[in-house]
Amino acid sequence: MGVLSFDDTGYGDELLIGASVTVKLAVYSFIIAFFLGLVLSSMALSRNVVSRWLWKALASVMMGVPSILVVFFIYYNSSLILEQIFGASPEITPFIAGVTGLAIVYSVYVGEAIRGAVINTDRGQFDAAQALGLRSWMMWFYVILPQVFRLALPGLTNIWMVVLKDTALISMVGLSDLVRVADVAAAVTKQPFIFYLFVGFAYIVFSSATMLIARQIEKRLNRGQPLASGF
Amino acid sequence: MTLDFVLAWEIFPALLNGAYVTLSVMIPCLVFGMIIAVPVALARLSTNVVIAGLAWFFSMFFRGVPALVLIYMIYNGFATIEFVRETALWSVFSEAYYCAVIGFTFNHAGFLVEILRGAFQSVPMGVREAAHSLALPRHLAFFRVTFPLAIRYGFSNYTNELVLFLKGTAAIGAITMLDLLAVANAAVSTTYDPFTPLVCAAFIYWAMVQIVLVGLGRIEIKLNKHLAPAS
Repeated sequence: MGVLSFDDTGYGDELLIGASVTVKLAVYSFIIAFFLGLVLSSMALSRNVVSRWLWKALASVMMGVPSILVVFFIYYNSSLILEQIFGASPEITPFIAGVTGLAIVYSVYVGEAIRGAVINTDRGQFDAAQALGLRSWMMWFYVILPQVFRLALPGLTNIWMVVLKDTALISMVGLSDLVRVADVAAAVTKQPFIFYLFVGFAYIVFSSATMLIARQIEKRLNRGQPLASGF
Repeated sequence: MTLDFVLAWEIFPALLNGAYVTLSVMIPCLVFGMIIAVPVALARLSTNVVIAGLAWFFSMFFRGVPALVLIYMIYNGFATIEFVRETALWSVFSEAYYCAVIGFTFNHAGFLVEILRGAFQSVPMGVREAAHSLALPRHLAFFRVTFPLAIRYGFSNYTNELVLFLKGTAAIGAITMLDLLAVANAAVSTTYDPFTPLVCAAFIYWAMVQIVLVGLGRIEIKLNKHLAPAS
């Protein structure tokens, strides 16, 4: 296992840096996707026909196109777009393009998950909040959204898993993430199986770890809920 | 930053060719994936702990590892094994096409196993008991009762997986396959237009996804005719 050591001859340190890039990419993308998704879900639930129509169009496009294509599109086009709007643009690195692309694509999935959860929230909770005279924002932040997250959590966990695995694709834009580092190391050392299996298991470990965390959060959010019979 | 219709018209045949490559990888995977997944899903439900454990590991591994890492492993990995290079296996593993099909077959099979498992489990116990009380032999009870019902229960999950899988095939460009995304990217670098080729490719992906959604949606409605609200 000399090729995985942390000194100059091994790729252990490079892989670790690659892994940190992958994790950062996934975490940033998911956090941004989450907040964008909240906004989108309010668009989806709006009484305004135009905003609902916009939501449907956006969801159809983003759910019908590979995320890596969106990332390529942003990588090639965003500096041109920004220059046309603002007259100047920061350099769009593969990392920025990756985060932006994944965040935009998965915000739609988050929006859909939250929309579903809001619809499945007990109507009586809305009525009760109104009966107590809560303002609209108070109703959402103190009454509805905490319950929405309980319902949306399994869906959000799934989305996180998909985002995590999709980060592998960003190496195609040239990002030095875990996959790219392993690819280079495999080519140099001519021992591809060690590196690709390492990366494969690293992904499995990442997703299993988050699975455990998600289960803890789920337990906390479900406290006080009557258990369905048979569980 | 505008859609160049002349260019779009010119590159459209090449893009359709790329879409053909995408489908030519996808369709064999659907068939082989199903052939692998049915026995593994049954093994997953086996009461034998070892068999169930192996099947669990199979689905966990192939769902957890990103498809890109899997096809890299197969395409770059097997080429380094001398045994593979010196036997007839080399004609399989030296072709990016076969490597892509093998990698995506297992990736797809991993997800299918879970879909099938869920579908088999959602067949109500009472139905299986009824089959048993009619003295149907086990294989008849499975093929005439459990399996047709399981198809109905698992169908919408299968549709979702098919859409994700279709979009996931965009990774095959990484192992030199000229699929839809790779053709679009090549057109970007030859025409210096970063916008039109990617938008056209996105449109073709979107159209393929809509065909899957509408087509399988029709079948699902047919399968669940008895549940349709009375008109």
